[in-house]
Amino acid sequence: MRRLGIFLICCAILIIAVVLSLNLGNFRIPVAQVFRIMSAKLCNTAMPEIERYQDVVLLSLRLPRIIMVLLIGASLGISGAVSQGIFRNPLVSPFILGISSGASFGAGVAMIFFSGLPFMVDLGAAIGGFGAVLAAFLIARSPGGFTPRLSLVLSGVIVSSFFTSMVGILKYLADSESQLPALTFWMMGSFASVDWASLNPVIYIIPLCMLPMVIFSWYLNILSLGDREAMLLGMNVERWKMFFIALVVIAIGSGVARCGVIGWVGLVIPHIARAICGPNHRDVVPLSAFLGAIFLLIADNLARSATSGEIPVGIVTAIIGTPFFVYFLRKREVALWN
Amino acid sequence: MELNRMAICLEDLHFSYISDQPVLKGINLSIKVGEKVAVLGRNGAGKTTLFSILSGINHDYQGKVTLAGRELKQMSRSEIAQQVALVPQKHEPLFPYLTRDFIMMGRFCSMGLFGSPGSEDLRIVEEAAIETGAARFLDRPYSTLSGGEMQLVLIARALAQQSEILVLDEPNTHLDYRNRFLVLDMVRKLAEARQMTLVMSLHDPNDVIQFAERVVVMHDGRIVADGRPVEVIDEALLAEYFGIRAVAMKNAAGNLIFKAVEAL
Repeated sequence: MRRLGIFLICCAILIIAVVLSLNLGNFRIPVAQVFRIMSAKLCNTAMPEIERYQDVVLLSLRLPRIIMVLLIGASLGISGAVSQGIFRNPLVSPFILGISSGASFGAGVAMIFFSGLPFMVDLGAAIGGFGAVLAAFLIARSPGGFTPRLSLVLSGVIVSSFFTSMVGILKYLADSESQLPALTFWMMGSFASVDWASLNPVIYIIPLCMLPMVIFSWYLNILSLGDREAMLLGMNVERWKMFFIALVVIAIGSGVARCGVIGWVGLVIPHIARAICGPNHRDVVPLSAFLGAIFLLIADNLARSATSGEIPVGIVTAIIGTPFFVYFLRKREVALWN
Repeated sequence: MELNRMAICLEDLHFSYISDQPVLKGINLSIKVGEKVAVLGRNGAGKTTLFSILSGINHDYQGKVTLAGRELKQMSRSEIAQQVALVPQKHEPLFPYLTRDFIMMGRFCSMGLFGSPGSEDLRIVEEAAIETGAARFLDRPYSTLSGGEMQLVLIARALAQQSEILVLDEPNTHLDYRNRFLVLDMVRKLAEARQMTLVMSLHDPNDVIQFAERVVVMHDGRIVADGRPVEVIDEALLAEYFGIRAVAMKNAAGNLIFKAVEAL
């Protein structure tokens, strides 16, 4: 019952947030008008009387952007929950583990050197993400096969800063007329240039990665007990870890390839989810997807309407996310570090 | 049930973590279905290593290990977990799972690929909780339980695996005087009620005499004695393998007990 209640509340908030996002912006469209245009489009009837460009702004700019934000927000939230489960570490997220910066390096390489080929950016992002998580894991792993929690966070920071500096080299190599501005803006994480075309292939990849994460979410409970105990309970630990890491990397990589690096969502959201529904991953995983989508939609609305220009959304999530991380560290302190 | 069926069979078992430093040096051991066996030995004698081989964690051993007639190396992890449930000494909780959810994790080995817990699993979990006395804190987070309660929950989780063999690695090490007795007494009764094979490592010879019907004494990677506790454990054995001078005496009920006097 409680589960159903939380689900319905999330759906309600999500719908309200979407409607408000369609309404918000420098070019305001009243909510009633939003409904009229949407229903006309859906039912294929004649467009109501509208001001110039209202339908274009709504259907060609805002709608694809909102869909992209929801997809990426959900993928960041759910990937954070999954990473924290498999690494048995509430201090990690795809961003902290270096997956995001690895993916951005891979995507950057593809952008500069293989810009003509389709989907190379997505592929490059996935390869870069895999490389980063592997490197972070190998650096943190001690000879006995044990991975201390703090080491994993630190090695993630190391890998992350390495790939960030590699992206710096890419910027240096990029053509300052045509490639550099695009690269720089993309690096900061932004949804400004999203249109229907850029939703392909993200609109397939992210749901396809999230579905198995939800189906097998209960397995994360077992993995979160630690390798040894998961084995005792009959789990093939290496196989399932690889399975989940692959899903996370592909989901995160495809998002990074389109909209750059957006930090903090994956770290913060699972903690909020656990505060609402308890630690069982069967609940935390789907709820993190919902909350991630809602959170990023709010952040993106702030990003595009707080000022007359547009702030990169990655900056907004960092401004909201960092104080939360500080709060979390102060509250739980020592127990987590050992 | 076939009474003389073998639950566990070890033949010439060797194991080393680092080459040239063997931990197990040729173990031969057969345990019948339903037997209650205690493994006695000092720290580093190889007990924990032996248990991690039995439960399928250490796979690169030499020799032969069979569980209910099947070679261990040919069994999948979930098949092993259906045969052997190991209760670890201690579990360090990270996420504060409810006790109910925690015990439920014992059902993993019996689920199919797309499995998630159903009503039958819930019934098994509640039954295991009632049998171990963990039922009264099913809805409390595991991380808020006391040491003794945690041990009961770990045993309940092992019962939820519905395996034939229950292996306990020093089940009472972290417990107070009362809980030490409570846990061993409960485990013995459970094993009898469920006709499970019981293998547990213990440190106190008096516990062995009281709770096991067979003792296997390990020293330096080998089995040095094997038999009925009252026949095997004596002052000479405790002196030789445990470095302790102990005196044997009879308590009021006429049972053999040992009292340690000095370290040799």
